[in-house]
Amino acid sequence: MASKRLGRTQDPTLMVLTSLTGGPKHGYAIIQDIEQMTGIAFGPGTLYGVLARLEEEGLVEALPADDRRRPYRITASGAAVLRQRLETTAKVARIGLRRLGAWT
Amino acid sequence: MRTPRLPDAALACYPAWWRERYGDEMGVVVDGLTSEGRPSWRIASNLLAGALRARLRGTGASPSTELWVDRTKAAILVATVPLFVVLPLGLLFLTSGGELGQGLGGQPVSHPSAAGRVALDLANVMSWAIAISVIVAFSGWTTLLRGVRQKSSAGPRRRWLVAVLPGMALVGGLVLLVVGGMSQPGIAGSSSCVTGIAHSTNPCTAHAVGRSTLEGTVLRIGGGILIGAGWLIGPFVLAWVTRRSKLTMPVVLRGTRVATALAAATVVMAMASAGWGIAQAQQPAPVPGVSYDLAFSNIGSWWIPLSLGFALLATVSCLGARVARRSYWHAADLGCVAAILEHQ
Repeated sequence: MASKRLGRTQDPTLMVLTSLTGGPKHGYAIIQDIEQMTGIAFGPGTLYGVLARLEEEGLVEALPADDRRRPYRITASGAAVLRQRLETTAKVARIGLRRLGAWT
Repeated sequence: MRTPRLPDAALACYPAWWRERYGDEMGVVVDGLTSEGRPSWRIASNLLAGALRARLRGTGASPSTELWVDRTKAAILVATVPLFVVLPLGLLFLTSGGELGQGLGGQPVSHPSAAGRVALDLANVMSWAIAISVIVAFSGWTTLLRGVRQKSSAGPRRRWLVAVLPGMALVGGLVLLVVGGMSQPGIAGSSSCVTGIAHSTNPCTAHAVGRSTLEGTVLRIGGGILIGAGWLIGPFVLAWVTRRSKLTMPVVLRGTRVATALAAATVVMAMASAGWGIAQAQQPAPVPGVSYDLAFSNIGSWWIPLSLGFALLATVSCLGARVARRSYWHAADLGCVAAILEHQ
């Protein structure tokens, strides 16, 4: 059973960026995508806090609004940051799993 | 017409600039999540947390100097307005319980225990914190007065209000402090009193008679009226004038410093109040069989909610001061950039 405590340590920034690598999405679609990927249900306050920060840092950009929905797209620098973070995470995961294998 | 819902109310808690930018799309997301069956209280609590973060961090605010100066001014108010509650609480503490260290058990205690001495010291710390915060508040008030006078946009009515009302509050507070000090036997020099001891031998009884003099009553009523007029309306006037006036950057900077100093003084008061309550409870009863009576105190176990109140106000004040400092420097940076771009 997955620990709830570990669930809380997930980085919402990473999840939003990962979700946007699949193509531009609006807020509700991002929440649904993240829920499918990780099982974590984002609230709108959390999501838009992250989006505002990412937009300010130039890691994502807003596209023209379609009705009241505004899609977001990951930028080149956002993709570079995400790649670096995922590589680090993957390295940690590989080492952790190898050590766990030796331990059990 | 749609009925107002809990998430809508929570959305309204976001700052105006945030609602302008993200309000519509967040509304769509909230509608989607609600139709999915997600509990509205959960969405609302998430939005409230987000609104608090947005207000504290200012993420997503447009890079406009005016907006960030406005944010700074609002944060200064958040940091300073708790003073209007903190000072009366502190005065209540001092006039009702400040001498508990001396009034330990009511017996003349020439050598209080270590805990009693700590309680005494903390009561002194509280007095100093109150005195310092009054001086700092006075300095902040004069700065605001100067700032309002500097700008021609501020009319005479605004200047008059900001000059008179907080002054009345301060004078009222001082009058009550003096009256409280005069009617307080411990402050007047007596050492202590005790319940369970015959009134003929109890020094408190004699002092208690002196409390209800005519002049004391007149002063109390006068102080009460001044406080009522100044203390209750003062915060609103200060808030109104500060938000409406165009203050210069040095005045705003001084305001952030005043806010920081007041937040620090409030933290000291919260710690002194809590420490005092704990220390006085540790003082052993000097006379066996006589309950440990907080002879001069009307506070009793009220020190717990009092300390919690101080702690809450200190937290609000500290958050306000932090936001004020950060927003000021952000506004200053933006102002510099704008000046450089204009020069080029």
